[in-house]
Amino acid sequence: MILKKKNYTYLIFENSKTIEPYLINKIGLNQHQIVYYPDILFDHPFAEKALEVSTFEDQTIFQTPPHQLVILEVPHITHFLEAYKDWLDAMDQSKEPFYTVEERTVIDQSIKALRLSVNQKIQFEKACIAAKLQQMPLVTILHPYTLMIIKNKFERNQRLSQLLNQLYGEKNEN
Amino acid sequence: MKIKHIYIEEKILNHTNTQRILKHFPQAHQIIITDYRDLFNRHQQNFMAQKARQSLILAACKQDYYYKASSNCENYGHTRFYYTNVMMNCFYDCSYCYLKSIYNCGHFLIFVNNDAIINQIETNLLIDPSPLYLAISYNSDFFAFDQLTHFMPSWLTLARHYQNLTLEVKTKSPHFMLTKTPPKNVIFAWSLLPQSIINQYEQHTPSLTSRMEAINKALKMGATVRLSLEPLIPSDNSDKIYTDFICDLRNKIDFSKVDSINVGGFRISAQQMKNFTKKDPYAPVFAWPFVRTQTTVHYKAEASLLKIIKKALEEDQKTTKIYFFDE
Repeated sequence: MILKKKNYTYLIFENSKTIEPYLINKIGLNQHQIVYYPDILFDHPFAEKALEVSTFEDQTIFQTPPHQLVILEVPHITHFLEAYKDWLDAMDQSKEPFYTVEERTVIDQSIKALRLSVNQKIQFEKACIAAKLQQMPLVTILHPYTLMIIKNKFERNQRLSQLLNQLYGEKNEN
Repeated sequence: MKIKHIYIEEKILNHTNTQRILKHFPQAHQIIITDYRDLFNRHQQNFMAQKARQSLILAACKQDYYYKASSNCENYGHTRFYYTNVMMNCFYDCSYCYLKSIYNCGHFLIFVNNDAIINQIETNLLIDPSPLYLAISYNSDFFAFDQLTHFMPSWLTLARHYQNLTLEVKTKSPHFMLTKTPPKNVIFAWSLLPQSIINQYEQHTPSLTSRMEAINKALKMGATVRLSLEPLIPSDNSDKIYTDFICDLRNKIDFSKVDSINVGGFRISAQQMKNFTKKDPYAPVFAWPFVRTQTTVHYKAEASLLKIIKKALEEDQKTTKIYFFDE
Protein backbone atom coordinates (compact mmCIF):
# COMPACT_ATOMS: atom_id res chain seq x y z
CA MET A 1 0.00 0.00 0.00
CA ILE A 2 1.18 3.50 -0.79
CA LEU A 3 0.14 6.26 1.57
CA LYS A 4 1.10 9.76 0.48
CA LYS A 5 1.01 12.31 3.26
CA LYS A 6 2.33 15.85 3.56
CA ASN A 7 5.98 15.24 4.49
CA TYR A 8 6.44 11.54 3.72
CA THR A 9 5.34 8.80 1.39
CA TYR A 10 4.68 5.54 3.23
CA LEU A 11 5.20 2.25 1.52
CA ILE A 12 3.46 -0.28 3.74
CA PHE A 13 3.74 -4.03 3.32
CA GLU A 14 1.23 -6.23 5.07
CA ASN A 15 2.52 -9.47 6.53
CA SER A 16 0.15 -11.36 8.80
CA LYS A 17 3.05 -13.50 10.05
CA THR A 18 4.68 -10.60 11.85
CA ILE A 19 3.52 -9.74 15.35
CA GLU A 20 4.52 -6.08 15.45
CA PRO A 21 5.27 -3.34 12.88
CA TYR A 22 8.82 -2.99 11.56
CA LEU A 23 10.51 -0.02 10.01
CA ILE A 24 12.48 -1.19 6.99
CA ASN A 25 16.00 0.22 6.77
CA LYS A 26 17.02 -1.76 3.68
CA ILE A 27 14.89 -3.24 0.95
CA GLY A 28 16.04 -5.65 -1.71
CA LEU A 29 14.13 -5.70 -4.95
CA ASN A 30 15.08 -8.98 -6.56
CA GLN A 31 13.26 -8.31 -9.77
CA HIS A 32 15.38 -5.24 -10.42
CA GLN A 33 18.46 -6.57 -8.57
CA ILE A 34 18.41 -3.34 -6.65
CA VAL A 35 18.94 -2.64 -2.98
CA TYR A 36 17.49 0.55 -1.59
CA TYR A 37 18.21 2.31 1.70
CA PRO A 38 15.57 4.80 2.85
CA ASP A 39 17.05 7.66 4.88
CA ILE A 40 15.81 7.40 8.45
CA LEU A 41 16.01 10.96 9.73
CA PHE A 42 13.13 10.85 12.21
CA ASP A 43 12.25 9.30 15.57
CA HIS A 44 10.10 6.21 15.50
CA PRO A 45 8.84 3.59 17.95
CA PHE A 46 9.49 0.50 15.77
CA ALA A 47 12.03 -2.27 15.60
CA GLU A 48 14.06 -2.10 12.39
CA LYS A 49 14.95 -4.76 9.87
CA ALA A 50 15.81 -5.41 6.23
CA LEU A 51 13.22 -6.72 3.81
CA GLU A 52 13.44 -8.74 0.62
CA VAL A 53 10.62 -8.53 -1.90
CA SER A 54 10.51 -10.61 -5.04
CA THR A 55 8.30 -8.42 -7.16
CA PHE A 56 7.42 -4.85 -6.79
CA GLU A 57 5.71 -3.04 -9.58
CA ASP A 58 5.22 0.36 -8.04
CA GLN A 59 7.80 2.99 -8.93
CA THR A 60 7.45 4.89 -5.64
CA ILE A 61 10.90 3.82 -4.42
CA PHE A 62 12.56 5.22 -7.50
CA GLN A 63 10.59 8.44 -7.59
CA THR A 64 10.55 9.51 -3.95
CA PRO A 65 13.64 11.19 -2.42
CA PRO A 66 15.23 8.83 0.15
CA HIS A 67 14.53 11.16 3.09
CA GLN A 68 10.82 11.31 2.24
CA LEU A 69 10.19 7.60 1.96
CA VAL A 70 9.15 5.49 4.95
CA ILE A 71 8.93 1.74 4.43
CA LEU A 72 7.05 -0.37 6.93
CA GLU A 73 6.05 -3.97 7.35
CA VAL A 74 2.96 -4.39 9.51
CA PRO A 75 0.70 -7.28 10.55
CA HIS A 76 -2.47 -5.44 9.51
CA ILE A 77 -2.57 -2.13 7.64
CA THR A 78 -5.89 -0.76 8.96
CA HIS A 79 -5.03 -1.63 12.54
CA PHE A 80 -1.61 -0.06 12.10
CA LEU A 81 -3.03 3.22 10.75
CA GLU A 82 -5.36 3.46 13.73
CA ALA A 83 -2.85 2.44 16.36
CA TYR A 84 -0.10 4.78 15.11
CA LYS A 85 -2.28 7.75 14.11
CA ASP A 86 -0.51 10.06 16.57
CA TRP A 87 2.93 9.11 15.24
CA LEU A 88 1.79 9.61 11.63
CA ASP A 89 0.32 13.01 12.53
CA ALA A 90 3.54 14.03 14.30
CA MET A 91 5.53 13.06 11.21
CA ASP A 92 3.43 15.50 9.21
CA GLN A 93 4.16 18.49 11.37
CA SER A 94 5.81 21.28 9.47
CA LYS A 95 8.95 23.11 10.43
CA GLU A 96 8.54 26.75 11.22
CA PRO A 97 9.05 28.67 7.97
CA PHE A 98 11.90 31.17 7.69
CA TYR A 99 9.56 34.12 7.12
CA THR A 100 6.33 34.84 8.95
CA VAL A 101 3.20 35.12 6.79
CA GLU A 102 3.27 38.87 7.25
CA GLU A 103 6.90 39.12 6.15
CA ARG A 104 6.33 36.95 3.07
CA THR A 105 3.32 39.08 2.13
CA VAL A 106 5.18 42.37 2.43
CA ILE A 107 8.12 40.95 0.41
CA ASP A 108 5.77 39.90 -2.41
CA GLN A 109 3.98 43.24 -2.30
CA SER A 110 7.29 45.12 -2.50
CA ILE A 111 8.40 43.10 -5.55
CA LYS A 112 5.12 43.95 -7.26
CA ALA A 113 5.07 47.62 -6.29
CA LEU A 114 8.69 48.20 -7.31
CA ARG A 115 8.16 46.28 -10.57
CA LEU A 116 11.44 44.44 -10.13
CA SER A 117 13.10 42.52 -12.96
CA VAL A 118 14.03 38.86 -12.43
CA ASN A 119 17.64 39.72 -11.50
CA GLN A 120 16.55 42.51 -9.21
CA LYS A 121 14.09 40.17 -7.53
CA ILE A 122 16.95 37.76 -6.75
CA GLN A 123 19.07 40.62 -5.37
CA PHE A 124 16.16 41.83 -3.27
CA GLU A 125 15.33 38.35 -1.92
CA LYS A 126 18.99 37.88 -0.86
CA ALA A 127 18.93 41.22 0.95
CA CYS A 128 15.69 40.23 2.71
CA ILE A 129 17.33 37.01 3.95
CA ALA A 130 20.28 39.03 5.25
CA ALA A 131 17.96 41.49 7.01
CA LYS A 132 15.95 38.68 8.59
CA LEU A 133 19.15 36.93 9.76
CA GLN A 134 20.25 40.26 11.23
CA GLN A 135 16.88 40.39 13.02
CA MET A 136 15.94 43.66 11.36
CA PRO A 137 12.24 44.70 11.39
CA LEU A 138 11.52 43.52 7.85
CA VAL A 139 7.83 44.49 7.79
CA THR A 140 8.54 48.02 9.03
CA ILE A 141 11.34 48.52 6.51
CA LEU A 142 9.39 47.19 3.55
CA HIS A 143 5.97 48.64 4.24
CA PRO A 144 6.63 52.09 2.66
CA TYR A 145 7.89 50.40 -0.51
CA THR A 146 4.67 48.44 -0.94
CA LEU A 147 2.83 51.75 -1.36
CA MET A 148 5.15 53.24 -3.97
CA ILE A 149 4.07 53.93 -7.50
CA ILE A 150 7.02 53.44 -9.84
CA LYS A 151 6.85 55.33 -13.09
CA ASN A 152 10.02 54.33 -14.89
CA LYS A 153 13.15 52.12 -14.75
CA PHE A 154 15.33 54.93 -13.43
CA GLU A 155 13.03 55.45 -10.47
CA ARG A 156 12.79 51.68 -9.88
CA ASN A 157 16.58 51.26 -9.86
CA GLN A 158 17.00 54.19 -7.51
CA ARG A 159 14.40 52.90 -5.05
CA LEU A 160 15.83 49.39 -5.15
CA SER A 161 19.35 50.64 -4.49
CA GLN A 162 18.09 52.64 -1.52
CA LEU A 163 16.19 49.62 -0.22
CA LEU A 164 19.16 47.24 -0.58
CA ASN A 165 21.34 49.61 1.42
CA GLN A 166 18.71 49.73 4.09
CA LEU A 167 18.32 45.94 4.22
CA TYR A 168 22.05 45.27 4.41
CA GLY A 169 22.60 48.23 6.70
CA GLU A 170 25.66 50.47 6.82
CA LYS A 171 27.22 48.21 9.44
CA ASN A 172 28.11 45.78 6.65
CA GLU A 173 30.90 48.07 5.67
CA ASN A 174 32.81 47.14 8.84
CA MET B 1 27.92 11.79 18.68
CA LYS B 2 24.38 10.41 18.56
CA ILE B 3 24.67 7.95 15.72
CA LYS B 4 21.58 5.79 15.23
CA HIS B 5 22.45 4.13 11.93
CA ILE B 6 25.77 2.86 10.61
CA TYR B 7 26.01 1.72 7.01
CA ILE B 8 28.89 -0.69 6.54
CA GLU B 9 30.29 -2.01 3.30
CA GLU B 10 30.16 -5.78 3.38
CA LYS B 11 33.78 -6.14 2.23
CA ILE B 12 35.21 -4.19 5.16
CA LEU B 13 32.92 -5.53 7.87
CA ASN B 14 35.73 -7.51 9.47
CA HIS B 15 38.41 -4.86 8.95
CA THR B 16 40.19 -4.04 12.23
CA ASN B 17 39.38 -0.35 11.87
CA THR B 18 35.69 -1.08 11.23
CA GLN B 19 35.44 -3.22 14.32
CA ARG B 20 37.27 -0.61 16.41
CA ILE B 21 34.94 2.20 15.27
CA LEU B 22 31.81 0.10 15.77
CA LYS B 23 32.70 -0.40 19.43
CA HIS B 24 32.04 3.31 19.97
CA PHE B 25 28.42 2.95 18.86
CA PRO B 26 26.99 -0.19 20.50
CA GLN B 27 23.39 1.04 20.24
CA ALA B 28 23.41 1.94 16.55
CA HIS B 29 21.61 -0.11 13.89
CA GLN B 30 24.15 -1.70 11.55
CA ILE B 31 23.04 -1.86 7.94
CA ILE B 32 25.18 -3.83 5.53
CA ILE B 33 25.67 -2.19 2.14
CA THR B 34 27.43 -3.21 -1.07
CA ASP B 35 29.03 0.06 -2.11
CA TYR B 36 29.01 3.38 -0.23
CA ARG B 37 28.44 5.22 -3.49
CA ASP B 38 24.90 3.74 -3.67
CA LEU B 39 24.17 5.92 -0.66
CA PHE B 40 26.62 8.76 -0.67
CA ASN B 41 26.39 9.76 -4.31
CA ARG B 42 22.69 9.28 -4.98
CA HIS B 43 20.57 12.20 -6.10
CA GLN B 44 17.65 13.94 -4.41
CA GLN B 45 19.17 13.69 -0.93
CA ASN B 46 18.58 16.38 1.67
CA PHE B 47 22.08 17.32 2.88
CA MET B 48 20.86 19.62 5.63
CA ALA B 49 18.34 17.13 7.05
CA GLN B 50 21.04 14.44 7.01
CA LYS B 51 23.48 16.78 8.68
CA ALA B 52 20.97 17.41 11.46
CA ARG B 53 20.65 13.68 12.05
CA GLN B 54 23.84 12.12 10.86
CA SER B 55 24.42 8.49 10.13
CA LEU B 56 27.86 6.98 9.78
CA ILE B 57 29.09 5.23 6.65
CA LEU B 58 32.10 2.92 6.88
CA ALA B 59 33.60 2.07 3.53
CA ALA B 60 36.74 1.40 1.54
CA CYS B 61 38.22 4.08 -0.67
CA LYS B 62 38.44 2.49 -4.12
CA GLN B 63 39.55 5.32 -6.35
CA ASP B 64 40.50 9.01 -6.22
CA TYR B 65 42.89 8.55 -3.32
CA TYR B 66 44.14 12.13 -3.62
CA TYR B 67 43.39 15.33 -5.51
CA LYS B 68 45.21 18.47 -6.61
CA ALA B 69 44.32 21.33 -4.30
CA SER B 70 42.13 24.18 -5.50
CA SER B 71 43.58 27.61 -6.26
CA ASN B 72 41.21 28.91 -3.57
CA CYS B 73 43.49 27.28 -0.99
CA GLU B 74 46.63 28.91 0.40
CA ASN B 75 49.54 26.88 -1.03
CA TYR B 76 52.30 28.29 1.25
CA GLY B 77 54.62 28.50 -1.72
CA HIS B 78 54.29 24.84 -2.65
CA THR B 79 53.82 23.87 -6.28
CA ARG B 80 53.05 20.19 -5.56
CA PHE B 81 50.01 20.73 -3.38
CA TYR B 82 47.53 17.88 -2.92
CA TYR B 83 44.84 16.84 -0.51
CA THR B 84 43.34 13.52 0.41
CA ASN B 85 40.02 12.44 1.90
CA VAL B 86 40.17 9.80 4.56
CA MET B 87 36.84 11.10 5.77
CA MET B 88 34.07 13.11 4.19
CA ASN B 89 31.87 15.42 6.27
CA CYS B 90 32.18 15.63 10.03
CA PHE B 91 30.21 15.85 13.25
CA TYR B 92 30.63 19.63 13.48
CA ASP B 93 28.06 21.91 11.91
CA CYS B 94 29.79 25.03 10.60
CA SER B 95 27.36 27.13 8.64
CA TYR B 96 30.10 28.31 6.24
CA CYS B 97 31.22 24.76 5.44
CA TYR B 98 31.62 24.32 1.69
CA LEU B 99 31.14 20.55 1.87
CA LYS B 100 27.42 21.02 1.40
CA SER B 101 28.18 22.51 -1.98
CA ILE B 102 30.23 19.52 -3.17
CA TYR B 103 28.58 16.44 -1.64
CA ASN B 104 25.09 15.10 -2.23
CA CYS B 105 25.07 13.46 1.18
CA GLY B 106 25.36 14.92 4.68
CA HIS B 107 26.21 11.65 6.44
CA PHE B 108 29.69 11.13 7.87
CA LEU B 109 31.81 8.82 5.73
CA ILE B 110 35.01 7.19 6.97
CA PHE B 111 37.29 5.19 4.71
CA VAL B 112 38.59 2.47 6.98
CA ASN B 113 41.36 1.47 4.54
CA ASN B 114 43.52 4.36 5.68
CA ASP B 115 46.66 2.33 4.95
CA ALA B 116 45.63 1.77 1.32
CA ILE B 117 45.34 5.56 0.88
CA ILE B 118 48.80 6.00 2.39
CA ASN B 119 50.16 3.31 0.05
CA GLN B 120 48.74 5.07 -3.01
CA ILE B 121 50.31 8.35 -1.90
CA GLU B 122 53.66 6.68 -1.34
CA THR B 123 53.56 4.91 -4.70
CA ASN B 124 52.25 7.73 -6.84
CA LEU B 125 53.25 10.99 -5.19
CA LEU B 126 56.20 10.33 -2.92
CA ILE B 127 58.12 8.45 -5.60
CA ASP B 128 59.01 11.95 -6.81
CA PRO B 129 61.61 13.35 -4.36
CA SER B 130 60.57 16.98 -4.90
CA PRO B 131 58.72 18.69 -2.01
CA LEU B 132 55.11 17.60 -1.58
CA TYR B 133 52.50 19.45 0.47
CA LEU B 134 49.64 17.17 1.44
CA ALA B 135 46.55 18.29 3.36
CA ILE B 136 44.80 15.37 5.03
CA SER B 137 41.88 17.04 6.72
CA TYR B 138 40.24 19.41 4.28
CA ASN B 139 36.95 17.55 4.15
CA SER B 140 36.68 16.55 7.80
CA ASP B 141 38.42 17.15 11.11
CA PHE B 142 40.76 14.17 10.82
CA PHE B 143 42.66 14.91 14.03
CA ALA B 144 39.71 15.70 16.31
CA PHE B 145 38.10 12.34 15.46
CA ASP B 146 41.30 10.34 15.91
CA GLN B 147 40.00 8.96 19.21
CA LEU B 148 37.46 7.20 17.03
CA THR B 149 39.64 6.16 14.11
CA HIS B 150 43.25 5.92 15.37
CA PHE B 151 44.50 6.80 11.87
CA MET B 152 47.00 9.45 12.93
CA PRO B 153 49.95 7.16 13.88
CA SER B 154 50.19 5.77 10.31
CA TRP B 155 50.39 9.29 8.88
CA LEU B 156 53.05 10.29 11.40
CA THR B 157 55.09 7.25 10.37
CA LEU B 158 54.76 8.31 6.72
CA ALA B 159 55.93 11.82 7.55
CA ARG B 160 58.93 10.48 9.51
CA HIS B 161 59.93 8.39 6.52
CA TYR B 162 59.68 11.11 3.83
CA GLN B 163 61.44 14.38 4.55
CA ASN B 164 60.18 15.89 1.24
CA LEU B 165 56.63 15.55 2.58
CA THR B 166 54.86 18.32 4.49
CA LEU B 167 51.64 17.07 6.01
CA GLU B 168 48.99 19.60 6.97
CA VAL B 169 46.44 18.53 9.59
CA LYS B 170 43.78 21.19 9.89
CA THR B 171 41.73 20.90 13.06
CA LYS B 172 39.46 22.46 15.65
CA SER B 173 40.39 19.80 18.19
CA PRO B 174 40.10 20.64 21.88
CA HIS B 175 42.74 17.98 22.63
CA PHE B 176 46.25 17.14 21.63
CA MET B 177 46.29 13.42 22.23
CA LEU B 178 49.76 12.50 20.95
CA THR B 179 52.13 11.11 23.55
CA LYS B 180 55.33 11.42 21.50
CA THR B 181 56.69 14.47 19.72
CA PRO B 182 55.37 14.37 16.15
CA PRO B 183 57.79 14.90 13.23
CA LYS B 184 58.50 18.54 12.37
CA ASN B 185 57.12 18.13 8.83
CA VAL B 186 53.60 17.62 10.21
CA ILE B 187 51.84 20.95 10.61
CA PHE B 188 48.92 21.01 13.01
CA ALA B 189 46.87 23.96 11.75
CA TRP B 190 44.26 25.04 14.29
CA SER B 191 41.25 26.87 12.89
CA LEU B 192 40.58 29.81 15.16
CA LEU B 193 37.93 32.52 15.20
CA PRO B 194 36.60 34.86 17.90
CA GLN B 195 34.28 33.05 20.34
CA SER B 196 31.30 35.22 19.31
CA ILE B 197 31.81 34.13 15.68
CA ILE B 198 32.20 30.49 16.80
CA ASN B 199 28.89 30.76 18.69
CA GLN B 200 27.13 32.05 15.64
CA TYR B 201 28.68 30.05 12.82
CA GLU B 202 30.34 26.92 14.23
CA GLN B 203 27.75 24.74 15.93
CA HIS B 204 28.97 21.76 17.97
CA THR B 205 32.63 22.78 17.73
CA PRO B 206 35.09 23.12 20.63
CA SER B 207 35.38 26.53 22.27
CA LEU B 208 38.20 28.94 21.44
CA THR B 209 39.60 28.44 24.95
CA SER B 210 39.79 24.66 24.58
CA ARG B 211 41.44 24.99 21.16
CA MET B 212 44.04 27.36 22.62
CA GLU B 213 44.70 24.90 25.44
CA ALA B 214 45.26 22.13 22.89
CA ILE B 215 47.63 24.41 20.94
CA ASN B 216 49.70 25.08 24.05
CA LYS B 217 49.88 21.37 24.78
CA ALA B 218 51.02 20.74 21.19
CA LEU B 219 53.66 23.48 21.43
CA LYS B 220 54.88 22.05 24.72
CA MET B 221 55.25 18.67 23.02
CA GLY B 222 57.36 20.30 20.29
CA ALA B 223 54.76 19.96 17.52
CA THR B 224 54.76 22.27 14.49
CA VAL B 225 51.71 24.50 14.91
CA ARG B 226 50.01 26.94 12.59
CA LEU B 227 47.27 29.33 13.65
CA SER B 228 44.70 29.35 10.89
CA LEU B 229 42.55 32.44 11.20
CA GLU B 230 39.84 31.72 8.69
CA PRO B 231 37.23 32.11 7.43
CA LEU B 232 36.93 35.71 8.55
CA ILE B 233 33.25 36.57 8.82
CA PRO B 234 31.90 40.10 9.31
CA SER B 235 30.23 41.09 12.52
CA ASP B 236 28.36 44.08 13.91
CA ASN B 237 31.57 45.28 15.46
CA SER B 238 34.27 43.55 13.43
CA ASP B 239 37.05 45.98 14.39
CA LYS B 240 36.73 45.41 18.13
CA ILE B 241 35.89 41.69 17.91
CA TYR B 242 38.87 40.79 15.71
CA THR B 243 41.33 43.13 17.44
CA ASP B 244 40.38 41.68 20.85
CA PHE B 245 40.63 38.21 19.36
CA ILE B 246 44.23 38.73 18.23
CA CYS B 247 45.10 40.21 21.64
CA ASP B 248 43.55 37.21 23.35
CA LEU B 249 45.51 34.80 21.14
CA ARG B 250 48.75 36.69 21.77
CA ASN B 251 48.16 36.64 25.53
CA LYS B 252 47.49 32.93 25.63
CA ILE B 253 49.83 31.59 22.93
CA ASP B 254 53.51 32.35 22.46
CA PHE B 255 53.55 33.47 18.80
CA SER B 256 57.33 33.07 18.66
CA LYS B 257 56.83 29.31 19.05
CA VAL B 258 54.26 28.86 16.29
CA ASP B 259 55.43 27.94 12.81
CA SER B 260 53.16 30.40 11.03
CA ILE B 261 49.82 32.14 10.95
CA ASN B 262 47.51 32.16 7.97
CA VAL B 263 44.60 34.52 7.47
CA GLY B 264 41.81 34.30 4.92
CA GLY B 265 38.20 35.24 4.33
CA PHE B 266 35.24 33.08 3.46
CA ARG B 267 35.68 32.24 -0.22
CA ILE B 268 34.00 29.77 -2.49
CA SER B 269 33.79 29.23 -6.26
CA ALA B 270 30.73 30.64 -8.02
CA GLN B 271 29.44 27.15 -8.91
CA GLN B 272 29.89 25.95 -5.35
CA MET B 273 28.08 29.03 -4.09
CA LYS B 274 25.14 28.16 -6.32
CA ASN B 275 24.91 24.66 -4.76
CA PHE B 276 25.50 26.08 -1.27
CA THR B 277 22.62 28.55 -1.63
CA LYS B 278 20.30 25.91 -3.03
CA LYS B 279 20.92 23.53 -0.13
CA ASP B 280 21.07 26.03 2.71
CA PRO B 281 19.43 29.29 1.58
CA TYR B 282 19.02 30.71 5.07
CA ALA B 283 22.46 29.86 6.46
CA PRO B 284 23.73 32.49 8.92
CA VAL B 285 26.58 33.32 6.52
CA PHE B 286 24.03 35.03 4.26
CA ALA B 287 23.55 37.80 6.81
CA TRP B 288 26.29 39.73 5.03
CA PRO B 289 26.59 40.81 1.39
CA PHE B 290 28.86 38.93 -0.99
CA VAL B 291 30.68 40.04 -4.10
CA ARG B 292 31.63 37.90 -7.04
CA THR B 293 35.03 38.12 -8.72
CA GLN B 294 36.17 36.20 -11.78
CA THR B 295 36.96 33.06 -9.79
CA THR B 296 35.30 33.28 -6.41
CA VAL B 297 32.54 34.66 -4.27
CA HIS B 298 33.60 36.35 -1.06
CA TYR B 299 32.35 38.86 1.48
CA LYS B 300 32.11 42.47 0.40
CA ALA B 301 33.74 43.31 3.73
CA GLU B 302 36.69 40.93 3.17
CA ALA B 303 39.27 43.63 2.44
CA SER B 304 38.35 45.57 5.56
CA LEU B 305 38.45 42.41 7.70
CA LEU B 306 41.92 41.55 6.38
CA LYS B 307 42.98 45.13 7.09
CA ILE B 308 41.87 44.81 10.72
CA ILE B 309 43.84 41.58 11.15
CA LYS B 310 46.90 42.97 9.35
CA LYS B 311 46.90 45.95 11.68
CA ALA B 312 46.44 43.77 14.76
CA LEU B 313 49.29 41.48 13.66
CA GLU B 314 51.57 44.31 12.49
CA GLU B 315 54.19 43.80 15.18
CA ASP B 316 54.13 40.01 14.87
CA GLN B 317 54.98 40.13 11.17
CA LYS B 318 58.58 40.88 12.09
CA THR B 319 58.99 37.64 14.03
CA THR B 320 56.34 35.23 12.70
CA LYS B 321 55.57 34.02 9.16
CA ILE B 322 52.13 35.33 8.32
CA TYR B 323 50.27 34.38 5.15
CA PHE B 324 47.35 36.51 4.02
CA PHE B 325 45.12 34.96 1.39
CA ASP B 326 44.32 37.99 -0.68
CA GLU B 327 43.03 37.60 -4.20
